[in-house]
Amino acid sequence: MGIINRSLLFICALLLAALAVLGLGAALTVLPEATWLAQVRWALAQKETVLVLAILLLVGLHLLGVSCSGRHEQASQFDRGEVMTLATEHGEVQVALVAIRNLLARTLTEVHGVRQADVHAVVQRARKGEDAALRIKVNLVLGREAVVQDAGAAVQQRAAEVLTNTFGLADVPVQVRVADVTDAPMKGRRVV
Amino acid sequence: MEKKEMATKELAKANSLGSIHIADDVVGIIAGLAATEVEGIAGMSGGIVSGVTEMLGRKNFSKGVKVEVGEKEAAVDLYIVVKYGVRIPDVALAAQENVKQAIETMTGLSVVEVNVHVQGVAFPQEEPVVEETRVH
Repeated sequence: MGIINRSLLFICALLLAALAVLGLGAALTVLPEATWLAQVRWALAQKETVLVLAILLLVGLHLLGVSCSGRHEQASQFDRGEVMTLATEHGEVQVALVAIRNLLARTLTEVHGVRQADVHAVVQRARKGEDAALRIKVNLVLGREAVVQDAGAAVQQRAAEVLTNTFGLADVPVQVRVADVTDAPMKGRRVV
Repeated sequence: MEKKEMATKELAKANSLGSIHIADDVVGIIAGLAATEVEGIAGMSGGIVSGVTEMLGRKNFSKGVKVEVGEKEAAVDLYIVVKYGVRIPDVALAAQENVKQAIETMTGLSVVEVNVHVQGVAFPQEEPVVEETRVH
C-alpha cells in the first residue's frame, strides 16, 4: 500500500476510534444523553458537516477499492523501480531504472542528428510462464539534417551497446519514435 | 533486573578477558569505506537525511549502506553511483568482494550476501572536485 493510502487509512482509523470512544461513552451513559444529542444536532446543522461527510465517503470508497484491488503487495525489484541484472555468489546486483533512463538520455543525444532523446525504461510484469522484461522506449526530436531511418537505427544500436557494455543487459527491445523534427540549433556542439 | 536498552544494537562476543562489542554502525562504516575504495564507484547514494547531515558538515561514512547484523553473520545492501564508462557488473562484483573481505577481516562476521543497488551514473563534470592543498 502506498504512502498516500496508508495516510488516508491512518486518518480514517483515528476517526473510527474516536467515534467508537464516543459511542461507548453514550452507550455506557458516561456522557449524558442530552449532552451528546445536543452536540450531534449541532454538528448536523452545520453546512461544513455535509462537506466533511462527503469527503469521508469518497475516502472510504477509495480505500474499499484499494482493499479489493487484489494487487500483490509483496515488494519486488520491479515495484521499487529496479531491474536485477546479475546474481553472483555474493548477492544480487540491481540497477535503478532512473539510472538506465538518465544514461541513455545522455548518450543518445550524442548520436548524429538527435536534438533531444526522451527515454522511458519500463519493466513489464511477468505473465504466466514468462519472465518480467525490460523495455526501452525512446522519443526523439531530430534535426533537419538527420535522415530519420538512419538516425532511428543508430539510436537503437547505440542504446543496445550502452545496455550491454555498461549494464550487462542483453537483448533489450528498444522502441524508437520520432516525435518531432526541428530547426533548433544543437546545444554545446558546433559540428553536425 | 531490568536490562538496559542499548541505543544501538551491538554484537557482543565474550572471551576469557571480557567482552567485545561491535556496533551495527561500525559494520556499516566498514562497508561504506570498502565500497568507495573500488575503482569505478563515484560515490554512495544516500537519502534526504544523509544529504542534510552532510550539508551541516558531518561526514557520513555509512551513507548508502544498510546492514543487517546477527550473532555470526551479516548482510549488506549498498546503494552506489557508478562512474560513466565503467561496466557495472564488473564494478559491482568488485564492490561485493571488497566489502565482504573488509567486514570478515575486521569483525570476524560471516557475510552472507552483499547486494548492490546502482542508483545512478555520474558523468565526469558531475564528480566532486578534490582541491589540492598547498601545505601539509
